[in-house]
Amino acid sequence: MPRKILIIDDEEAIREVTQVTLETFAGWIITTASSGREGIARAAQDLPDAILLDVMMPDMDGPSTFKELCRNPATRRIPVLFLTAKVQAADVEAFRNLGAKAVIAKPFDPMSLAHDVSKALGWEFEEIQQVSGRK
Amino acid sequence: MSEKKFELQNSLNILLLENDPADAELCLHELRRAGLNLHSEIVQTREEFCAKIESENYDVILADYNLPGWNGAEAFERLQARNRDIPFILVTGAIGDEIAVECIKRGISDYVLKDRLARLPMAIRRALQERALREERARAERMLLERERRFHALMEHSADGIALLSAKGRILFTSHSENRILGYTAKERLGENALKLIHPDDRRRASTIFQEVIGKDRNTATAHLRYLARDGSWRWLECIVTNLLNEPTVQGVVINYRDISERKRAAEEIRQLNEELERRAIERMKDEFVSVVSHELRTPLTAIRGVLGLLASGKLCQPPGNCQRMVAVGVANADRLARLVNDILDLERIQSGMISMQKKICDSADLMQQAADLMRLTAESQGVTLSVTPLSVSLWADPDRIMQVLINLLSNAIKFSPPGSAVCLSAERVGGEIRFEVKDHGRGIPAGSLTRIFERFQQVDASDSREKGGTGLGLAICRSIVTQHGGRIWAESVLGQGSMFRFVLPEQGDGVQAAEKKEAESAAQNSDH
Repeated sequence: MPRKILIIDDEEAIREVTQVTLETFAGWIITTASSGREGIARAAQDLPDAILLDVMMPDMDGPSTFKELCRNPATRRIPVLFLTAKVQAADVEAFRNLGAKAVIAKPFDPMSLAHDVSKALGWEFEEIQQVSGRK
Repeated sequence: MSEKKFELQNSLNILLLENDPADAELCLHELRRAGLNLHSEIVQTREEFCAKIESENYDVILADYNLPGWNGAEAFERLQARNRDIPFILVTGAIGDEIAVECIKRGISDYVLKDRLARLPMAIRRALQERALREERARAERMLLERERRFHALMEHSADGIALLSAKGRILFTSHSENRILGYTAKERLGENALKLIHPDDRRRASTIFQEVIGKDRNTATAHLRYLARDGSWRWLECIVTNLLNEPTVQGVVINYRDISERKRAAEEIRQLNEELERRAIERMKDEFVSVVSHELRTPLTAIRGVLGLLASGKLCQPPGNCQRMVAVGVANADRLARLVNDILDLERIQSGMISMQKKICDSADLMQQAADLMRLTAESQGVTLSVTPLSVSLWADPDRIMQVLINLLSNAIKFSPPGSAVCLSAERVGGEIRFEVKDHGRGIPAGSLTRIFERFQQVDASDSREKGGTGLGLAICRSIVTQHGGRIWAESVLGQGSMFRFVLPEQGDGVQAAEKKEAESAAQNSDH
């Protein structure tokens, strides 16, 4: 089975582009959520292999969502990558300290997004498309 | 005076200087006959007289003029010598007009001839009245003097000053003999034009106000003016100007003034604080704006760039040639827009100090080598040779930011170099500083643009940003970074032969000391709050 990725972002356009990009380049199975709350529920239900989490969202922002995910034993171990339009060195440092696997800046190049995500997670990018059923 | 009349009606203490007892008795008899109630003592010799005026107090002294061995005039001198103001009347035989006039001139109250003794009571009354008048006048004078002294002391010790000016603005009087406010003595200032010490910028205003005030009787106006104090400082005085030219007792323009420098200083401090608060509020708004813009611009840009990237990849479909070219243009421009947003935010943050330089000890040769390695591929793709001559010097700097400067300068140099030419990166120690240099053999920069190019969006040619893909902010960012390190950056160029960008940074020792100093200062500032 291919990898399952959950994208949490309040912007529909970003969700869509990210989803198509990762599906097209990596062949991963993508699910999306449009808010932190929805993302937490979906993560607990789907148990994805990784989560791409937007930083700036209304109501519940990325860091709060991440903390909530860590509190739940079911989702605690799912690696999280922050996707952010706010790329100050200090912020990147802060997200890393929270325990994020990587911080990916927006806008990103679709050609390299799947590669960057794989690299951050230690996944072998070429194999991903053929691998099945391994977490 | 009424007191004395009362005394006269009650009892008179009389000293009689007379060597003839019969004459003495006649005198007293005459006085009693006139109804005077008196107590008398009779002395005959100089010694007795001197002893009595020394020890006793009399209301009146009556003296014969011709005495054995001396005379009445000498007796009066003795009395005067003791500073006693006692009516002194000569009761005498004929003495001649000359002597009589001389005696009156000297201050003897009166003289009465022995054969006209009936005049004596009246002479005594008049002498007593005159003395009462004299005492009254002396008391009034003492009071006046006292009042004047008090008034003077009040003026002298008042914190505010008073000056009196003529209609032409000359100083006629100043209240303080030693002017505590400005430090001059009254003498120095008398007769001077009052405008002389006023700040040149305030003079015209002062003159206008003065003319207005003297235009109308009892007119008054208030002005805040700067005056030159003796110590060379400028003091703010609040001056109340009043026209009393037609007031007979004043006849001048009165200036009441007080030092309001402290008040002004406090007001100025408040103004500055308000400005600072306002500035910070604006700064905060700007930060928020920058943050919002950063997010709001990048979000749609992310979608656009993503879509174009997907199309360009050919993974979704295989578009025809024209379409592919158009998509490529879209990708390139979305990238350029992203760079622009990044650069604007970067520059704003560096300039506003939001990004602090993460300084550490680093080696200049490493930075040069890393920057060159990163740019080598770009150079090769342009057919440009990149040569590095590293110099190892220890620096106190933010290595990422210095790399950013080097990469920016190298990228510019490569962009503007014709294929087949070389770009050289080198460094040199120059008097406690390290000077980096990036040299190209491009078209060069006109002399008039050498400074301007470090400003925002000030490329030599407006078409450069389109053709070369720059944002117009690279050099401004470089300058901000170098400045934040206590260094300088500049460009030199010969048109048609190439350009040379140079920047200097302090060597580690200086930098560390400066950083420690700055840290100590900011610590001190923090402890103030």
